[in-house]
Amino acid sequence: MWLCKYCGMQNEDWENECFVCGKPQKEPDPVVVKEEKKTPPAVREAGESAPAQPALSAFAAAFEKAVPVNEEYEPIAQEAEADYADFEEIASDYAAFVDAAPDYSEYTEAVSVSQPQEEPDASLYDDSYIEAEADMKIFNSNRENIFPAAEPAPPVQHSPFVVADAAVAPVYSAPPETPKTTFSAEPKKTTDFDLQQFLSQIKQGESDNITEEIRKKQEDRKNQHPAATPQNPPCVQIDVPPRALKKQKKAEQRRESVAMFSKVTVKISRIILAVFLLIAAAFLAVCVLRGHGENIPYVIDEIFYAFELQLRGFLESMQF
Amino acid sequence: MLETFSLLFEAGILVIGALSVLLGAVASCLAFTRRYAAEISPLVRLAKVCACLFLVSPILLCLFADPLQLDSHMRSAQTLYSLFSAAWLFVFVVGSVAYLVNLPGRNKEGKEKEAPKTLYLSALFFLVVSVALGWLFS
Repeated sequence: MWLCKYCGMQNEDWENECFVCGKPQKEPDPVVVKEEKKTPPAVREAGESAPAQPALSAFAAAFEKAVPVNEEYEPIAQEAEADYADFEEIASDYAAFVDAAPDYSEYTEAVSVSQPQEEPDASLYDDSYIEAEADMKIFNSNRENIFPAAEPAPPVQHSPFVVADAAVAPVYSAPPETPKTTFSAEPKKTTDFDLQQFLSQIKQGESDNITEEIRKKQEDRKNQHPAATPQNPPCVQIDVPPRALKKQKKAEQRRESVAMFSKVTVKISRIILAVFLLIAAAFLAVCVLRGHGENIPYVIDEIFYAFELQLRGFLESMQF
Repeated sequence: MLETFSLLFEAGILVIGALSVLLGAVASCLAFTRRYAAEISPLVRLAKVCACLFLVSPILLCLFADPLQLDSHMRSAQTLYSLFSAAWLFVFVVGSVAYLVNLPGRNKEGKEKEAPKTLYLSALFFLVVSVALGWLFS
């Protein structure tokens, strides 16, 4: 087993060049081939679990035979060798760093082995427990007052944390064993307070109260308006303040009086008009009977003559 | 008898003229308030009828009266038209002011106030016609 000086890959059988990178190699360095050789991290990580394939080595040998080493690559190979020496130094430093690193497995083991947990301080729960117990007592008393026929309240379960002062604090007693819950189509019968029953009773009570109120209102309405029916409900009465009512009444009265006045005026005017028309008709009839109708052309001439005189005077006055 | 009817007719002309002016004045006073628009219109309508009759009546009086008394009738007609024009001038002023005061408003039915508008336009018409007729008969 030897290592390539350029890529650092392991090669099992000795060939003149690395079968991985294909670069020509010299005789293997006896130091490198040693068991305690320092390999680069890539090689260390890969480990020995990746042995070289024999087919590939055979192929490399055949390639070596087919392509002879070119002498022009010698200086390049020397440079590469020098670089590899530097790389080797760096690899050795890295290996030393890795060896100096702590063993994490031991650390994780140490962490996984945790310390035994401390018991909770029971004194911290005393106050809250006492308050809860008092609330429970109040609740039970209220429930008994509201539903006297209901089942008795469940026994008070004491806190397991109260052990400090047994004389003052209640002693914890294990709850009675209850049968395991099994699925069934029937509603679960509990010995404790039935919440559904409680809600239904509240709803029933409310609905009873509401229906009672509605019935009372309907009766009141019927009493106030006997003829009122659901199809013909009574008119909505709006409470109007007395001042506004008086004002409204006054305005209505004034409006009615004005309307009445206008009606009377119109009637009187019509009567007067009728009388005037009668007088005019009588006057015209008398005039016609007297034969004054024959004078109409003469009168018209007179009127137009007067109009002509007026117009002339107006025009003369305008001319100055 | 003819003189009696003539006097009655002249009195009727005066009454009808006064009635028309009175109706116009009442209507113009009511036009200041928006709520009485419904009551204005019949008054205005009747005032217009009376005014038209008043404008025609002196002419009829002059046409059918005794030709010998034509000058006196024409003078009386001139006086009537002058009074009438003065009265309708008052109605026109009051009605136009009432219309201008309540110009942006509408009545309860949401209709535009046609009655005050008709009133002051009619007053203007009667004023112009009476002035012209009075000037004609002068």
